[in-house]
Amino acid sequence: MTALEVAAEAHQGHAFEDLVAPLVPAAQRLAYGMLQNGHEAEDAVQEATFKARRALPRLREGSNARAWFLTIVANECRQRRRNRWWSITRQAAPATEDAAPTQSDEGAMDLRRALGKLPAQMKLAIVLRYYLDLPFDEVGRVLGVSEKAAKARVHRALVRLRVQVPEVDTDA
Amino acid sequence: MREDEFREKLRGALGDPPASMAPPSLAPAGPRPPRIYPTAMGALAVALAVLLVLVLVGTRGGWNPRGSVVPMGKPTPFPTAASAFPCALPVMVEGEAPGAPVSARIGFVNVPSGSFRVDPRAGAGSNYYSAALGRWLPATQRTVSPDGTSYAYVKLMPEGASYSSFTSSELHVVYAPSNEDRKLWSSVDGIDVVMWQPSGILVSTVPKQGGAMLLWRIDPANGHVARAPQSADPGRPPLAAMPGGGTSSYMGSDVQGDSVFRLGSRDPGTKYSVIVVQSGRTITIYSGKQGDARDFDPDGISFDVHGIWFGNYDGKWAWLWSPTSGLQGFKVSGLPAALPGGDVLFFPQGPCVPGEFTGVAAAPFAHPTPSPSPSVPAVDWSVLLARPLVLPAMPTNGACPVSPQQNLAVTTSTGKGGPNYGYGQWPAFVSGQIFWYSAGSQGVVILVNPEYKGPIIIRSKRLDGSGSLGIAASPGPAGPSVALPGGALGIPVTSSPPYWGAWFGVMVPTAAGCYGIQIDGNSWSSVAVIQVQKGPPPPG
Repeated sequence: MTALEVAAEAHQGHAFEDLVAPLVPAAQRLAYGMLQNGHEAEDAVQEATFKARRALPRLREGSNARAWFLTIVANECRQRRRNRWWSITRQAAPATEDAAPTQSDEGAMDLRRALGKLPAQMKLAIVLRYYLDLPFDEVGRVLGVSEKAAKARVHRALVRLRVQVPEVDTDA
Repeated sequence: MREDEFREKLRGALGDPPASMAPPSLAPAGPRPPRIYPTAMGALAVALAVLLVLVLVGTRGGWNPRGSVVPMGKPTPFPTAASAFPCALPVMVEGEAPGAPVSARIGFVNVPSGSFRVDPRAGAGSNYYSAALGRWLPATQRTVSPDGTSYAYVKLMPEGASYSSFTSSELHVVYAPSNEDRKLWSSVDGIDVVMWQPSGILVSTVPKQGGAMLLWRIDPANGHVARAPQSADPGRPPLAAMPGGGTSSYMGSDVQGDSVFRLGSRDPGTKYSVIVVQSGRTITIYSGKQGDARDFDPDGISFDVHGIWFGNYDGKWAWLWSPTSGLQGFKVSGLPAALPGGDVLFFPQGPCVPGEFTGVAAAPFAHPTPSPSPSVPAVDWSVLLARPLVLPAMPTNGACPVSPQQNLAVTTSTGKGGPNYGYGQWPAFVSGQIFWYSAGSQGVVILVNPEYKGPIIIRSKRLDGSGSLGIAASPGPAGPSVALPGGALGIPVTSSPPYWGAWFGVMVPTAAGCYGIQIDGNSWSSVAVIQVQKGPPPPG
């Protein structure tokens, strides 16, 4: 069934769920990767779902439904993305003197912080490629750019993260 | 670093979405409830503004941030930015660099001189400076009471639970002078403190299984709870200021609910604005292009009688904005030097308090300690190279005798498992891919059981024609290896008991076909046969 056929059925009121339900796990993963907060990610996916329902008539024939839905989720995450101050202060309890972090904890912390400092579109590119495992052409569809441009954007984001990935470096 | 290594690292850093995340409702959205606009909001805002000014001004005389304090004149009820200087802005300075742990220095930036001095009184957990108490609290601006003497926090129950395992949550209030801790409210949902305002503590709840976020206002005196309208959330995007949509990020609010937002991303060259929304009225603090000469790239915020303070992403500036003085920048000095390839940032952590803070000079950030390179033993490769290459012959039916996949329980020294499969025999296995392709390079992992830690050589040969299988170390920390005559590759040290050895390399076949790979150790050989399919590896 093409996306258009599914969309047509949705106009009759009973296929939107069929279209979107299989995409929910990827949407939740995207939202969590971008927002790093389960509650906010839930809210973002819920709001994106409402928006997707409203936008369904604009889903063009031959469109990739997953990329279409993830684009809406990504836009919703951008709207909700808090700055660093906000994310720090959304802590459950006052800071206490914890045990010394391990080297791997520190590495993960470094990477999270570096990701948080990336421009939203670069972070999105990294999350789509390496957190959702999307191929570059689909990363490009979500970002609204060509596959080549998506690869270049991932490459630039990796450079900003000071990470060298030869598979991207060589082709970007 | 190879793609799969980075992928693994990223997933380790971000974690997986909580299992408790509820799927969205796919049903059409019902009509939204009408907004509630309290009629007394205007009068309340005025009253709160006066109260805030009185409280903050009243606290000014009591602060004594020794070091030394420049004697202040009698505080005026409505100080201008100029007359209120010098003051000391409490900040947390953080240094980050690749390979180095994140380090923090807590102290004050003196304004207008911009000099940073560390506060030796700040201990672990210090996060917010209460001018009223003259000390640091383990709290944030949002969770501190308007008078600066108490703070709220959320405790997940049972003790030690996380957001994925809690059964209930409790809102607690601590009166800092006596450290008295009171449980104010509990809920089966997850509580989050949105902001402690003069009208009560605004909190949100979200059901454990996910769902709608509700807002509540709680009286800190008696725990009385009342629903608050969604419009009470100071972080709601300022849609009226964004008629065309776009990116907005919430930076913070003062106790009156005036909220500061950044509109526009941090992408270089992007037009952006920083605005404050006061009772529905939008005031632009700054408009410019990301990366422009003004270098106003705010990160971190605090509010006081001077106005609104901002840190800067590059750590160079402290900014102050007030309706009367506009945006002023104070060049910051005395921060620890950034480590190579790293950054230094600071974040305002409370109101700027009158006086000049001397404290102590900031110690430099610790350089990352390089891991000592393990000594690589000298290996006489000729012994292993002399071993015969014994690979299976192609069967008469021409079918490649592909080695069966072995299930492995790999534990590496990083604490994470490696690939849990491989091809070959004890103790060495070829892994990294299930399908192999002829056009392009692909990652390969040589796994070695910890029962063997000596040297190995890897050789290969196509079994059904001409062609070769190049194996080389991947860029990055693959581990030591040496190219040997005849296309062989030597790895001098393999496992590190009790951990498996995992050597990361790149495999480049010259043609599709059936290949045998032989790994020789001191007293054993392991052979894996793989089928290389025609074409490029699929993306990812």
